[in-house]
Amino acid sequence: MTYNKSFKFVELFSFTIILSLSVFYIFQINQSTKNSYLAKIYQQKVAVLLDETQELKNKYTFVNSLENLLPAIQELELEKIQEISYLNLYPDQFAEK
Amino acid sequence: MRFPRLIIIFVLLFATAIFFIGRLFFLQVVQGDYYQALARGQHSFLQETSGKRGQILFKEGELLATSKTQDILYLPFRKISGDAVLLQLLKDILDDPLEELEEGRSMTIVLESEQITQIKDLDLSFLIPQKRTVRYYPQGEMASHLVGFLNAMQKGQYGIEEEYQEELQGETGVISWEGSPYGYLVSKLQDNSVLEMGNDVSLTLDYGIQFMAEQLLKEAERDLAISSGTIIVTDPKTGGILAMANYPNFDPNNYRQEELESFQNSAIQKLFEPGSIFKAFTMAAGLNEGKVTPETTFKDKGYIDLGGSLIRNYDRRTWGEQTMTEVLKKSINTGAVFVEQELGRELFLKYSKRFGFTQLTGIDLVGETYSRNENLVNGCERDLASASFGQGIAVTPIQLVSAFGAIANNGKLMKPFVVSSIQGKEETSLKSSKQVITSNSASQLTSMLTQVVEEGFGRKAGIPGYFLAGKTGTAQVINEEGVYDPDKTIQSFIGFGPTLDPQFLILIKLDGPQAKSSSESAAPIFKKMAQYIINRYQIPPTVESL
Repeated sequence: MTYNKSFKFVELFSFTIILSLSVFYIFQINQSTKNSYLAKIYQQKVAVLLDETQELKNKYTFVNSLENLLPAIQELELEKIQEISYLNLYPDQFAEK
Repeated sequence: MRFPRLIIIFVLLFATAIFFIGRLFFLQVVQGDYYQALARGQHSFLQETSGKRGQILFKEGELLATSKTQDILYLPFRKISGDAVLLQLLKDILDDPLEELEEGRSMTIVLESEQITQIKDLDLSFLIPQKRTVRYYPQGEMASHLVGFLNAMQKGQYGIEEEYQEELQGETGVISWEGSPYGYLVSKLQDNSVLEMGNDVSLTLDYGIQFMAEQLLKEAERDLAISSGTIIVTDPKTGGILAMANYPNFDPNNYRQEELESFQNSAIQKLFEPGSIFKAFTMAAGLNEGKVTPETTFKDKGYIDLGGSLIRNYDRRTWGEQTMTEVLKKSINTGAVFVEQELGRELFLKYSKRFGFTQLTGIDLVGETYSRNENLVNGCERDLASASFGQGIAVTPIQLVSAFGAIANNGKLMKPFVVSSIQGKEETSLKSSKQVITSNSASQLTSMLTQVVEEGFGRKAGIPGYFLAGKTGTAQVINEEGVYDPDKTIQSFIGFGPTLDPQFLILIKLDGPQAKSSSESAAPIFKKMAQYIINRYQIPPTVESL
């Protein structure tokens, strides 16, 4: 009688453990699948963003290329620098702190 | 009775479970790879590809060559040909006559972003937009001969793209694509980001100077009607190329539309007779061997008779008694022959070799050519005399720049190079030097060449406040009949500055300009180029200009 009772207890305990672990396992699998799916989605988004960044960088380089800027500068009709003067500064003109 | 029955059921269930587990183990573990491959083969395809190609950058990091992603659409002829409504719909969406499709061939078309949505809205299994990576040159035609291009086989062709193919290309590998039930590619199961990228290659090229050099060549085409031209700018102390411009150039983004000959990099592949520029090297040899000094005099009769037609001066001038400095200032042919005769055959040829005129410079660009100048090496006295003032000797612009750089660099000949670093790591293997004349001879010659710009034929190259050294060169061109064309010349100017501490060396070479001599054509262009560099690098004047 005592044997049967304790056996039932072990059975019940084992069944509970199996059930809870199974639920936990399913929950974990679900989480893992969800996270790996999310990671894949984010990876795809990162790839798209990287492509867009590269595209913007390319467009920026193209728009700011000297070849394209030249006509814009010419349209501004800026005054051309006639002469550049350099100031001769000799070391003995400075006082050391 | 109950107990054995339970045991039997349990044993049966256990045996069945063992059987299934065993079978599953056999299918999934023992033969798992085989069945996995079999299943994958039914819905996915493998494609050989490589990681993203490295970029090519100017000295300050401006982009010269990079990669970009394109949206493309494959149009299968067999699926579309029978459906006139679909064909018209595609023509409307793609705004393209779709000629290849009309001619019975499948085709691939590049899509704009709004077209992608319209194509997806059609919801057809055989019309799925894809992405592909292509090489892109955001500067268009700029430095096209130097950079080269990436061909359809994804291999670099010409210039840096070919020379540095191994460094630029990404890791090669295989990626898998998912396929639709009809066999059309649907999407990548993995992209090439899993493969290692190629290395970025940084050049010694200065963006601003390169642009200016190309602009000056375009101006020369407009004002002097040149058929072609080359400008090279270097740092004479290192041999690093700051600009290498050719006119005409091509657009590497559309290289398929170009003629094969337009890919020739004239700066390293086109041989020409340098003309009077070569007198500087003859003089360098004379000074270095102690055969002449800047003050040595000789008497010019206006011609020299070495058999055959007489060797005469430019414009048939007669100068009388002249120093060696005057020989360079007035570019006297007979004076150069005088120095060559003082040197003798062996020494003259020795210095021609030392300055590198019979070998490659070794620049890190694919396809460099050179002439062994055998007609000179094995030639008669007259051939050597002509060579002393730059006729009958063939050189490339880069050979000329490299050799002239030795005069600017205290007699040290530097190997020219265009790549400064790969993936941020400095390329030291490219730097090498060789002493070809003494520092003293180089200084003497520099002083003589400075007078060419200050008072001689190179006056139009001078900039107030700066000492610049240079030499003009006007050479005749041999025509198709093998004789010198009286109407066509190559006009050049080569020089460096500031002479006390050279920071740049410039070669201007103009093919067939509508000008009498290089002092009228190439020298003023040199001045503009030098002025730009002086302003860009903020080089202070050597002397106070009045």
